[in-house]
Amino acid sequence: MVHRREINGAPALFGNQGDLFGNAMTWWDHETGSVWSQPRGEAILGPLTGTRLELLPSTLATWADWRSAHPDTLALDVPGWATGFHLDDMAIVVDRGAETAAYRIPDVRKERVVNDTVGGIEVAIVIDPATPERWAVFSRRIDDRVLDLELIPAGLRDRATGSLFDPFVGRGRSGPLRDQSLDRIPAFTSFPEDYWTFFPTGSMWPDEAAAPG
Amino acid sequence: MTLLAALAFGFMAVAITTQNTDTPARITPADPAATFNPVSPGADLPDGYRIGFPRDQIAPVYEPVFTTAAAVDWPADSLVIGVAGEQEAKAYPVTHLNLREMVIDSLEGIPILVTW
Repeated sequence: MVHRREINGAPALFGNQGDLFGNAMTWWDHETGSVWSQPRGEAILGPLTGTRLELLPSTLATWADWRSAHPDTLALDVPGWATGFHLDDMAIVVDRGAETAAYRIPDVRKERVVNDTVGGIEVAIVIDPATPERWAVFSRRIDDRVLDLELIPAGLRDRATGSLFDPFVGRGRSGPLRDQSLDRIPAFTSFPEDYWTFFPTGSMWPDEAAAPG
Repeated sequence: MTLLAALAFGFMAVAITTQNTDTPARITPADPAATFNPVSPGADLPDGYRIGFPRDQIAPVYEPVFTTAAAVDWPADSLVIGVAGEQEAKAYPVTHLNLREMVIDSLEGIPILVTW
């Protein structure tokens, strides 16, 4: 999402509050410390409660499509890309409120796809084994059908129907489900120590069912 | 030439095509620990609010740096969030937003907040 970060006409700085509200991210503004809900674009706690940011138009597109539409586009430079992060030391966290699960990235890389259920939601954790920065978490339910997914060179494949999906976008590519898309599930990366601190009752795939100690 | 200077003189298109990077605006983030926080373990929080990580533990990109489309080797089918103004367009790769979640930026002088 893209918002105009102006409060009462003045530019404002925002940071990551780190909490979840309605399963979506929260921000804090540097001026007042108020807490904001991302999907609402609105302060929900603190002095600015009720204040909203203007939502600006933005597009979620493939790089090829965006570049084709905007040949002069600037591209966010990611120097060193993962500097400061060692992805193989981290886990992908899926927090569904009722249940939280984490997946150690090296283990997911070996499997490429982990089909799991978190908080009653059937999910698939997908990672590019060659480039762990490329990962995604999808719902693997389409209407009444629960998919069993695997990652093959041609894409993300439903074992039952043979349908293929783009592995990181989720759009159907071929097969009976080609007109469907997989819904993205919010997720983020964390160091396991931090995960256990903040989600002590969570689980860690594949083998840690509860927080140590 | 800085981004702001480029905007001021209307030479944005020139700036885009003739340089590889913009100089980010200098930003001094507030200290999360020293700023008022209405969320604490005993606070009265709305339904559906769940305390997670400390502020900025997932660090926002406060000073984004940009390059040209030709200078990056992102996969064609990788996802970006794109924003476009009259003359300027910017793309933020989702793979990076997965790690950082927030970018504090501007588009044609308008301060924007990009979040994932």
